Amino acid sequence: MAGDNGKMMGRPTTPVRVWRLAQFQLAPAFESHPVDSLLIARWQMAFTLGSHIILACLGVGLPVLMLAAEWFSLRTNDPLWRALAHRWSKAFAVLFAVGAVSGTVLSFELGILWPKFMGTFGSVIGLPFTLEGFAFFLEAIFAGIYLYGWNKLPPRLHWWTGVPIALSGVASASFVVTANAWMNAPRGFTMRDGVVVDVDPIAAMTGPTAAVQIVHMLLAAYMVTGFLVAAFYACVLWNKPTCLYSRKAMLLALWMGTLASFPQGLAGDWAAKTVARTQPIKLAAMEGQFKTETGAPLRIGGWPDTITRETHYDIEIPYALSILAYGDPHATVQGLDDFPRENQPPVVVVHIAFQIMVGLGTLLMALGGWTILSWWMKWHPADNRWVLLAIMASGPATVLAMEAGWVVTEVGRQPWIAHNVMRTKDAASHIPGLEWLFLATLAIYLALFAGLTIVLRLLAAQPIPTSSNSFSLPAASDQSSLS
Amino acid sequence: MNPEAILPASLLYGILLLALTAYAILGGADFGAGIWEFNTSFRSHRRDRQLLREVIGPVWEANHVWLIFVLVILWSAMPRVFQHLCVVMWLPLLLGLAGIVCRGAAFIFRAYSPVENSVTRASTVLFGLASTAAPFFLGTVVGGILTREATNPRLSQTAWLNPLAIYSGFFAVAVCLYLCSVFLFREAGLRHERFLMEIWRSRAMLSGVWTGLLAMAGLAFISSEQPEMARRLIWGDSPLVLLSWAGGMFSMVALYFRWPLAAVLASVLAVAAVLWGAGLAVSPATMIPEIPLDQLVAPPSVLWAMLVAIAGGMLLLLPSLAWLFWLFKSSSALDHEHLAHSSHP
Repeated sequence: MAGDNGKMMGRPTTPVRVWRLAQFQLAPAFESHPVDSLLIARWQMAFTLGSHIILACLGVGLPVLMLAAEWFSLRTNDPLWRALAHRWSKAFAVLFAVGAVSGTVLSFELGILWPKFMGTFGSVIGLPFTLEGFAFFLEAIFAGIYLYGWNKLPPRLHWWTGVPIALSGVASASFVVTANAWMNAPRGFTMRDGVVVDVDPIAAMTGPTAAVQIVHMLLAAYMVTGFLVAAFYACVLWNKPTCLYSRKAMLLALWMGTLASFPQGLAGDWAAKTVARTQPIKLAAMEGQFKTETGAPLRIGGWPDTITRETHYDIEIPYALSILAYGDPHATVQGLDDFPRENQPPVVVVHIAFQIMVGLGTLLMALGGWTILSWWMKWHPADNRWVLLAIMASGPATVLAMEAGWVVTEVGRQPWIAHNVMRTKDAASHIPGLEWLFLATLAIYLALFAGLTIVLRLLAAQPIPTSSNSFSLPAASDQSSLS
Repeated sequence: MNPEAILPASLLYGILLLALTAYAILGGADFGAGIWEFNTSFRSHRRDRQLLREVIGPVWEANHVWLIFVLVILWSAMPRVFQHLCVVMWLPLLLGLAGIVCRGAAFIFRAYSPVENSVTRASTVLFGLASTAAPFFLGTVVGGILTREATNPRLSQTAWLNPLAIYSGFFAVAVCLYLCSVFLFREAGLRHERFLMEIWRSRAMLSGVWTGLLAMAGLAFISSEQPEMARRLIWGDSPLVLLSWAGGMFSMVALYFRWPLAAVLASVLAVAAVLWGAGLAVSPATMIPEIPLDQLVAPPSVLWAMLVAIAGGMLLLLPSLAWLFWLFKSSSALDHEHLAHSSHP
């Protein structure tokens, strides 16, 4: 040991030799423990990804709200719209920055938690990530120009500098989801002795799940932003129902959620049909379908019993699953028991998460229906306490629905990291002390979200300018006011 | 190696080094701002700190994206290298990452909090600490790669605890300080702040001398530890270390004669040349000798697709980036604003 050590190091001086000794002593501490670290690695990924997704959704949706408000301010010269645009742009700045760093965490984690996956398939999904890099870059550049350009650019040009933010937000979300879609339906390569060959990066990007996942995710992002922002102003209006500023803000955000919620129903149906085709085992888990069945019923609610292999306490709609998944009441739906036990996802989690997503999505669509009705009847949602309550609930509900959707697609793909190609356990890293990393991450994210909440609340608590005289928003004052 | 892959792989390695250089210079100067603020907070006055925040405000986010870019190119074009680095360097990478997360959040919380409160005060401390920690740990990663201990299976997990790697961490912090002070010397000049210009000039000269001494000590250190590496670094195919030395020296001259732009360019050259020297001294092939080069780089189809994507992306990116820097970093745009402000007091 000393021999090859000395050869390797050249000729170390005495203090360096002491250091080396310490380094060798330390080395065992860095070797992997026999502890099963897979579960912790999955929790770590799920927690950081689940946190990032909320910020990412707001990063896609808020620019649209902010552009809409600035558009109305340019059209009407109403200082309230301008104040709204300005305030939303500040909220966007804070959320985008926290989203950028939490996204950086994910890029590192892909390699640190799942080294084998990235080492094997990094090149196959490299193209969408490269494109995403550019989209994110453009978003950051134009965010800088837009946020610090309120006084530097003519008003119309300033509005236009916000457009690339909204577009590149859409683009970067789409590219990232493309990579996830590949994990659900891997293609565009051949495996030879554990190495990928004959890679077709375009084919890998344009798999059967890509388009539907992108549409489903983007609509979800607009729903999350719309209902979350509306819920915030609903809370304000609960105490001050006449506040004109909050009424405008809530209505605009509510419309964004509404307009996204109806197409989301169609996108959800499209997604289910795609899953039926590409990942029948995931569909079986979503629906709690244990046995292969011709003319399968749709199960609403219920608890999948993994011992008796039946779903109990559910409401069954005859033939509905066969119709929804294959468009034919007598189509055969494959059950979980058709697949080897070691390939089955945890059915309880997937089924319950799917019910939560669909249930909340339907309720949100109903709220959207009410929004359209009230527009028809010329009511304002702020004048009805019950509707205000519903809007307040819609914020958390839309986030929960979106997270549940991600649980369906990610847990539903287990035990695979790349469907039918690589198992999650084979991709996982063996670094020691993952549990400590997870605890540290929890602590840091807790502080991060606490700080985020405090800063956003402080921003929201700033007095609202009511007339154009008392209203000046020089960007420089943002800087000087805090020093 | 597959002859078809040599050209695109070399091109992408060049792009990777360029992106890394951009991150080291632009991101490094941002880190430097945090380190300077932290180290001078008891002696600096209000305007001094204000300038530090003003300067990085509009650009820090874009500067930070270069890191994402480096990661993405690395894992797409050289997935096995990325895998290896993540397995070997996970701890310094995670610590550097924690620094990046904390400083980004702290900066934005402080910049957008409308009132001074416990969050902004905690953010100020965190911003300084994290701005120092991030380049330190990222520096140890680069140093760990240079030592090639990463290739020794027995030492791989502690390669970043190697003396040379620790030295690289300190050197990276020094480089950030130096770059930032030279850049702020120019920024103070753009804002016609004579007093601040003088402060940053002396800080730049001091940190420049310190960084130069550290670099020389480092070279001596490397030649005693790893003569082979030192030979490649100093007398390799291209005399990049000498170029860096010349750049550093010229930046001192430019600072002495108060030529802001020349000082900035020379300091950029000094830092870029060091990185390129290091980048050419190690190559992916020597990093993981047990894996054939064929399997280290992605197949040519992927490499070409990435090159096309990067070329197309740059068409959008470069003009936008140029506009951003022109708006917030050029003398004409800032002068325009200066006049606009003075006409409406």
